[in-house]
Order: sequence, then C-alpha cells, then structure tokens
Amino acid sequence: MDPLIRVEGLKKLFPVRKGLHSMIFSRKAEYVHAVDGVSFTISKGEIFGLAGESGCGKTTTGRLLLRLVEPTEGSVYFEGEDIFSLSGRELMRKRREMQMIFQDPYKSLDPKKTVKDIINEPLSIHKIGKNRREKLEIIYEMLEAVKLTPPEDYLFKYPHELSGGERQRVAIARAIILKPKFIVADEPVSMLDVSIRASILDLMIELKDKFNLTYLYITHDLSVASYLCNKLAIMYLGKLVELGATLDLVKDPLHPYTKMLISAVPVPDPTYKREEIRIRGEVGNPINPPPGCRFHPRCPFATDKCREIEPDFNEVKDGHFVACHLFQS
Amino acid sequence: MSLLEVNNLKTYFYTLRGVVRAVDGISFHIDEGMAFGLAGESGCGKSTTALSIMGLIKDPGKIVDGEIVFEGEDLLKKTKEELNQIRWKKISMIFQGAMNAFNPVHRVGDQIVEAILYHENISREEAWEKAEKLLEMVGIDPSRAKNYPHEFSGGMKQRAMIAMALSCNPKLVIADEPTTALDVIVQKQVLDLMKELQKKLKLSIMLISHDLSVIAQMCDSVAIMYAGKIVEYADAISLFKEPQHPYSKGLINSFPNILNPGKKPESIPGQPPSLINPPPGCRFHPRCPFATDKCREVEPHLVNIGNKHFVACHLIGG
Repeated sequence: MDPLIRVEGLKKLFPVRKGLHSMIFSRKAEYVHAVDGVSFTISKGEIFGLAGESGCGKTTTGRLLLRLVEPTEGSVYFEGEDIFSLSGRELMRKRREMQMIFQDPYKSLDPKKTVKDIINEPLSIHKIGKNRREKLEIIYEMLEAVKLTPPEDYLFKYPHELSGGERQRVAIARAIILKPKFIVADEPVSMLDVSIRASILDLMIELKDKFNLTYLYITHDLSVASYLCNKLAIMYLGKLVELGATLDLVKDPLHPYTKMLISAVPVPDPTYKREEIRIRGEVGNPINPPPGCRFHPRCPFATDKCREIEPDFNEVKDGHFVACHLFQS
Repeated sequence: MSLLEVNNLKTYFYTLRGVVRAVDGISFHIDEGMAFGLAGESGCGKSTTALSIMGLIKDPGKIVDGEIVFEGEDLLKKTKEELNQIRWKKISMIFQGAMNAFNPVHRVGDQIVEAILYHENISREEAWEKAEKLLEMVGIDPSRAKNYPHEFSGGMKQRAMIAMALSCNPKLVIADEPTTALDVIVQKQVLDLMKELQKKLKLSIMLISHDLSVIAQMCDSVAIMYAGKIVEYADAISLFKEPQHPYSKGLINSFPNILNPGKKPESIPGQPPSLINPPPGCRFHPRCPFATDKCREVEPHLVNIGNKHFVACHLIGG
C-alpha cells in the first residue's frame, strides 16, 4: 500500500524552564527529550496505533505530524511532501487534509458557540461553500454522518446541552467536514463512559471507510488499540521500541517493555491467570534519559551492551520492528 | 458474620432543580477479609455510597433511609464523636484522584503523622517512626517521608495514600477509583500492592471502579450499579461468567479484551438517565433491547436466582 505519511528521524526537545537563580549561575541548558528520533510510515487507509505510558512522547509525535509544533530535527512527508518546508498558503492547503480529534470533548468545544457555529468554523476559515445555504447543506450532511440526527435538533444547541458522546461526535464532525485524508485522534474515548465508547469507535471505523480516511490513533489503552488498530507502535521515553501488525505484536510481543505493558493490562475475567511478570522501577527521566537502551534500568534481561549501546530499530520479522539487543544478530 | 452490612440505603441530594436520588435503596454486605467491588458508570451513585458509609455526606445531601451496620452497630445512629472514633481507625478511605489528595505545602511524613496523632495517643516521634514503617510497607524508601508531595511520582503518591489509609490499622478500606488516573503499569503495581496488603493484614476492601477488568482481578464479590440501584449482585466468577441482567451483559461486552483482540466491543444505546426524574419501572428500560410493558411500569426487585446470585430484572427469575 502507498505510504500516506512518512516520518524520518523526528525529534522534539523542549527547553526546561528554570528559575532565576539557575539562569544566572548555570549556563547549561536542559531539555526534555519528548520525541527523540522516531521513524515510521503510515499507509493509506490504515489505523495506526501509537501506544505508551503518559509522558512517553506519543501526543507530541501526533502534534508534530500535523505541524502543530515545530520539530527540533527530522521530517514528516505527507504524500511525499515535507510538511515542515511548507509555508503560508501551501501550509493552509495542506492543513485541510489533516485534522485532529482531541481527548476531552468537554474542553475542545467552545462553550459559547452553538453546534452549527463549531462545525461551520473550518468552512469559513477555508472559504468553502458559496453561500449560507450551501454551507448549511454540508453541515447537515456531516451531522448525519456522525449520527446526530435529526440535524435540526442539534444545530442550535450549546456543548453543555450535549452528553459526552454527543460532544465527541460534534468534534468528529468538525474534524471531517473538510474531507481530510489523515486524522490524528488523541485518546478520543478515554473521557467517555464505558458503555458508549464502543459506539464512538464504531463510528470512527465507519467514517474511515466512507471518507477514505487514515488514522493515527494515540492511546494508553492497549485493549482498545488491539481491537481498533491494524498496526501498533509502542513508545518509551521518546523512542519507538516496537512496531508491527497489531495481532503479531499483541499475541507475540518481542521487546521486554511491550511484554511488561501487555501483561499489566487488566482483563475482565476473574479466573484468568497470567504469566506473572514482575515490574521493576518507574519510567526514567526524559531530561536525562538513561544511556544505551532507555529501558535497561527496568529490564530483567539487560546486559552490559544494553547499558552502553543504543539498540537499532530493526526489522526482525516481516513488518515487525523492534529496538532491542536481544533480537539483533 | 459480615463486617459491613448496608441495608436499603437511600442518599438523596436536595438541589434547586429537584431531589437527586443518587443512591436509592441499595443493600450489600462485605465479609471479613474479602474484597467487594462496586461497579458502574459515572453518576450511578458509587461514590455517594462510599461517602455515606464514611459519614461524609454534606448538605444538600442527606441519608434519608436505611442502615449501615458495621461490626453489629448501625453507624447512622452514632453521634459525631463516636463516628470520629470509627472513621480512619476502623474504616478508612483512599480517595479518587488521590494524586491531589495530599496537601502540597506539607511533607508527606507529617501528613501521615497528623492522621495518626488524631486517633492515637502516642508521641510525635513514635508517630513519625510509624509513618516511616508504613511507607516502607508500601514499597517507598522511609527516608522519603521528608519529601513534599511534588517530589513523588503519581504511583508513589498513590502508595503513600495507601500507607496513610492503613495508618490506624483499619478493618475496612474503601478505595474509590484508586488507579483511574494511573498508567497501566503503575496501576498493576498499585493493585498488586493492595492485594498483597489485603492478605497480609486481613483487610476487607470495598473497591469502587468503572473499570470492570480492574474489579474482575481484585474482587471476590461484585455489585453492578445503575442509576442509583444495584441491578446485579453475585460472586465475581458467576457475575463475569454468567451475567444475567441486560445492563451487566452490556457493560461487560462493552470492554475490549486484549486476550481476544478480534472481538468487537458492543455499546449500549442511549444515555444513563437523570437521577432527578428516573424512568418509571425498571430504570434501565429505555436502553434495554428486551423491555416489555411490565418493565416500563413495575420496578423489579433483586431476586436470588440461586447460589446467592441476585438480579433485578423481570425477564429473569419470573
């Protein structure tokens, strides 16, 4: 399949804000290594899952892909075009093709705007629709696509009059109204009640087929990712540690961190006895990440090599990449 | 004998918009050394139940009916002073969002000492030693007692919170969504710790969560709550293996399972109802695919369908 997004050596370091005293007496600038050399491709029509613990850099990666933050290094190619080289009008045109769905529909919708105004905003920014009537027709179509029917019941409602699930549907309608090709969805169901999460996931799958979308799905919930995504990448302290087809990765994880992560996911079955993996320590500090493999202080298999040399991200099986010295010849 | 028995508890909130029947006649019991799970979606009354047991319901809330029997005595008949003796010494609580439950301007150790000194007649030095021992028990280096909360990671704060809850050797610990804000690996560590301490100290635990998989891994018995009422109540294995109530089935099926990634999670249509004007009859009927006229009119009661498996549904057990 054609790649839609190609990410190469992407890096983002955030400077650490310091107090006055250390600004005067110490010259050494410190950086949070949020994303530290990440490369992958997303094919057309894929749901690409990016999973990891909080602070691993998954959200920053998602924002970089849409150029919502500028990178420190590296490139992102969208249909072969480097999005960081674009400017002005060209960037504006590209932005139509990539949109975002945010985590919290209680914060991502302007409380002072009606549903109609919220969904209309992208249209007026990109000057789509000749007149009011034509715009309204597009808005109707979108509300119907996200199953807020009949649309006239929702047009003049404010976000506080909607339930969490309905708000997220409005946010999705706003994201797809420009008919984008690529959508970054950052934990879109984690704030919703469990009984309605599945309906939002179903909607996302339906819209993907209907509008030929490609998703980057950012999540910490591996159960949801294992159901939804075709491909899954696991991130730890700013780096990808493993990438592969979801089923491969979930059933047969290679990297010790992936194994640990999967073994920690609770399962809704009181009789299930799993292979016990003892979990050591806590996530390292992204300001001074450990040398060598970043996971080595917590890894039960760490050798001297792991403490010194950073492992490459190698393809060990068909389409299954892992960054671990245990799997490198 | 049960350590805690809740009978027909009703806690209402008298707001300007009407009476919110947050908890509307629920009954359950917790045996000594057992873990009981109370599961349900947000707004179903889980936390209100916990606060009612702790005697922490404040205006405009009021416990209007029922009994909360702890070690044979009804807590609702106790005076404020008597309740103060029970709270934290016999029943303690780990709050939701415990990450923010510590006071940021006091050292962690001092906050645990404060809880101990309030209930026990010992010197400050003895209390500090005890706080250090408690931290050690939950896997935190005792020297960290001198740290402030912001110097702890999220998982450590949660552990310290558990240490504080155990500071006066309670018999029952109520944990309200103890791991909701934590990452999955830290969640596992905290749950493992709670299980280990439960065995070691013969604690009873009441675990409140919206996450059925957490409850499945921790609890011996489980009640599923919907709109202020318990709809199903059984031991964990029968509830997860043979759920009877359409809502319990729906809730269990709405969770994706990492062991079975191909399985499609099912959603429950509609929204939980308003607790000011709950639907008549069975409160779940507007969302239930099997609802009949009877469900719309007559309220079902919990019926034992065998083996202490209770279900409140007209379709089951006649």
